[in-house]
Amino acid sequence: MQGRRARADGTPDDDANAALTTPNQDRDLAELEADDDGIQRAAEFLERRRHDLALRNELAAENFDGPVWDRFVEELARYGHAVMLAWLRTGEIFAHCSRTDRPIGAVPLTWSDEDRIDLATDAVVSAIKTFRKNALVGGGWTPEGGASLRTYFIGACVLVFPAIYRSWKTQHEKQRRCPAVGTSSDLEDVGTVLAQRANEPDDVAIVWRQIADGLQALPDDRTRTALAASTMGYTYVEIADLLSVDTEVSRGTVAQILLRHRRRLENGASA
Amino acid sequence: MKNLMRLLAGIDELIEKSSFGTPGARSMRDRTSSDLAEAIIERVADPAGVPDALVAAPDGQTTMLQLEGQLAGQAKAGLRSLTIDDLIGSAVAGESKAIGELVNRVVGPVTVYCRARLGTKNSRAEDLLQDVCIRALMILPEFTGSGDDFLRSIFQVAEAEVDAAANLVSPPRGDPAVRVVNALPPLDRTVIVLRAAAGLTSADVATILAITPDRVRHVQHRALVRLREAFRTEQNDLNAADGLAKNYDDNVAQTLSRHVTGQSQNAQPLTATPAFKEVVHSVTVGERTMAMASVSAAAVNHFSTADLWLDSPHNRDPMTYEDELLRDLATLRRGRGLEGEQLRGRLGPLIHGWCGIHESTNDREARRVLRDAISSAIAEFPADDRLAVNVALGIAPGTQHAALSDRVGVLADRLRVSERTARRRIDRSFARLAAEIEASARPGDAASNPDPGWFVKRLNVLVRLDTAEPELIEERLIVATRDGLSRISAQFTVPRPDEGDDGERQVAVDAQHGVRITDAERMGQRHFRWLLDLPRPLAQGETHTYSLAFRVRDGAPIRPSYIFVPLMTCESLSVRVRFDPRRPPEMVWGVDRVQPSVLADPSPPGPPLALDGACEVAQEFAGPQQGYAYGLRWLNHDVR
Repeated sequence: MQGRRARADGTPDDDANAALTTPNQDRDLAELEADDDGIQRAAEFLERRRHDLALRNELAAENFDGPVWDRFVEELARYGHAVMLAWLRTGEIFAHCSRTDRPIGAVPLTWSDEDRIDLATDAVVSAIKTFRKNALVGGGWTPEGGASLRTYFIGACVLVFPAIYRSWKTQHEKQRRCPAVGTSSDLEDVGTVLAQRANEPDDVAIVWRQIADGLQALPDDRTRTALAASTMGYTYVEIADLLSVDTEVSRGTVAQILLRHRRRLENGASA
Repeated sequence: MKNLMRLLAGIDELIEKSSFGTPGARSMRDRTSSDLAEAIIERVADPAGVPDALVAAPDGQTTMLQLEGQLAGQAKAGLRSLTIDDLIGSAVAGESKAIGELVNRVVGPVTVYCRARLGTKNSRAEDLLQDVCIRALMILPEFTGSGDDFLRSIFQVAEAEVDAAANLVSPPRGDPAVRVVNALPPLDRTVIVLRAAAGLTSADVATILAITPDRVRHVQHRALVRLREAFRTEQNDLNAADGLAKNYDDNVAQTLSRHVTGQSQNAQPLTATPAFKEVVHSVTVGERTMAMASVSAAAVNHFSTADLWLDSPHNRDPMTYEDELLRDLATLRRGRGLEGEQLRGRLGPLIHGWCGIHESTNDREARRVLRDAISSAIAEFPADDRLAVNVALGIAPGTQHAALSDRVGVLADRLRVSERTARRRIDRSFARLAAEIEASARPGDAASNPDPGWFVKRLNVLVRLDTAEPELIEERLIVATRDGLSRISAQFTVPRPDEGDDGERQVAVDAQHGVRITDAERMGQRHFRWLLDLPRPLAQGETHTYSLAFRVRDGAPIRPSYIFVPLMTCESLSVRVRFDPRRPPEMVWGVDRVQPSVLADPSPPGPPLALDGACEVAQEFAGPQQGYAYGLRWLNHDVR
């Protein structure tokens, strides 16, 4: 991948190659390879789709119940939670909700990672139930429909998220207001706690705003998510997975998105 | 179980090949901790586990959709998934479905109870059942207790009704089996009927009778002893069993008759049971050979085997048993596996039972026993699975002091697979191991039944050659490894002499203390068996000392040695031979961890042991290993 990208940029991989090929020939080769790569990925995609169907049939044979179903639920739980948590951390979930015409406002400034973990958990529990009922038992998912089983499941996670988020938000805001109506001793306690971390809420808000502004300034959602996820330590292959909701995104594409962003920064800096 | 394993393996493979199996998806998946995943799985399985958020959510369509899902889930899981405690509230409130389900729950065991007490021929049983159900419905509206209280009061009603009805059954003309069962004391009768006939678990019976599960097991054991006695008194065991079989529901009768007569199809023939394990020792004097082998076995008689059957893994749901085993095994592989500290504390009860490891065993010994048991259980596994088990438990060389995650890495390297696949291999091999243990723990598989119900903590042996007849006194400190151990047996065998003397041997046994000999049996010319009743049933973990004296009465000389070969756990052994001061041996030497087959060869004398002032030689053996010979040999002066 590295080598291909290097040649596509016109930078020779090594001296021997440079002596044998011109930049144009090199580009042709890169395109051919990219085509091959594309064909390969398409073939793999089809193969996985075929197995999605086999998986659904196997689960149907067990009536979407019992130990086999439980095993699959484990897979859904693990995968779904990881993706939802990543999207909650990067803010991607808010973009997704907007895209599906169920906007839920801006990323809150006062939530902790625990809140995000809870939200991801609630969403996945709810999504698994919806997914079972609508996509599997109800026959909502078909291999001809275009989406893989995994994408359909993540779609369910996005679908159930707004309700869960709004409920959490109401609860969360109520809790934040709570100290004001507490008893005097409560107020003292709260005062002590606040005194210890007096500037924190503001600091947090400011930092978040800066990050959010910085992220908003980015050209597109994909770059924003890729950059945020990369900052948070997700690997390229994981970021590719996080971006692969509507269309399949490869690890190479992620690398390119991030590279392009870096170049822009460099150009901006030099300009 | 095998089918299930195949299905699960199949689903794993499909998941791997499906859209969930892409490298990115797998990598993301592995970011979620097992705890978190388990919490989600539990909530998904729970019909009431929909997040509160949804109920309060003002988001029309999704909420409705979710609520529908919740309702559908509830309808599907049905009331069956609710406990009696859950049901009782709705039933008291008059919800007809809950009332129906509650009555259904109670009817099954009550029916079996009534039939077991009255016999199916007795139409009174059916009437009585109806009465009980009506009574249940009558008390329901004003019932304020818990589900357990409800169950208990219904059984009290049933018991009173049955007692009244049983008095009407004319004893001489009633079913012999019914008569015998009804003749038991009330508690014994209820326990045995509910356990053996109705098939309730000890915990359920304990709930109904408001006693502890341990007490249920004690009473059950006592009831079986009494039933057996009752059948004997009638001198009509088989007829009574036939009576049961003919007159009761098949399920009830076969179970009960097997239990009360000990004719369990799972009962093992005496000679085949591996419970015939403990000591084989030979004492020989002079030119002619007489080898004596004494085999003490726990619970080898049919009755006790049947009794064991009640609590044996076979009688449980194999799935549950395997699952529990799997959990116990998974606990074992955490941290540093078998090499971890406080190993004994990490052993679940099923592992204890499987290996016969007792609380008093130290970590080192437990580790050895476990290692042996596991390596023999996986002996037939494919190499990959064997490696997975050995690496996961830290048995394999090079993995003994590494943390689990490092060991998984080692396995992944050796199998050249990803760590995730390595973990799956471990899961798979452990499931296989649990299945293997489950299969081997079934009473039908005599060869690998590991739990004789007790082991020897200390064996003190005194061979007296200064008496007119050679005498062997064995004092054992035994530890029960199951509850209710009340009878053990001792075997004593005099193998065929080398020089063709094929006559009957005369061996007498005398219980010196701690046991009462209730039955003696000659099994062929040289085999003897005694049934030993303990003074009271031992609870699991309880110790007891008893002593037996064996005398060879036929005047034939014995081989100049005392050899002990433990075939079940014996933690320590002390051997003392007291010689006749008028005929001291020329030389005495110890036998320490020698292959029994080597004993027949002319033995090279080891370092000589000195006789003390009392003309005795004593030797201590700590932790004699199973299958090896320990003891003393000597050379008589007059033989040369």
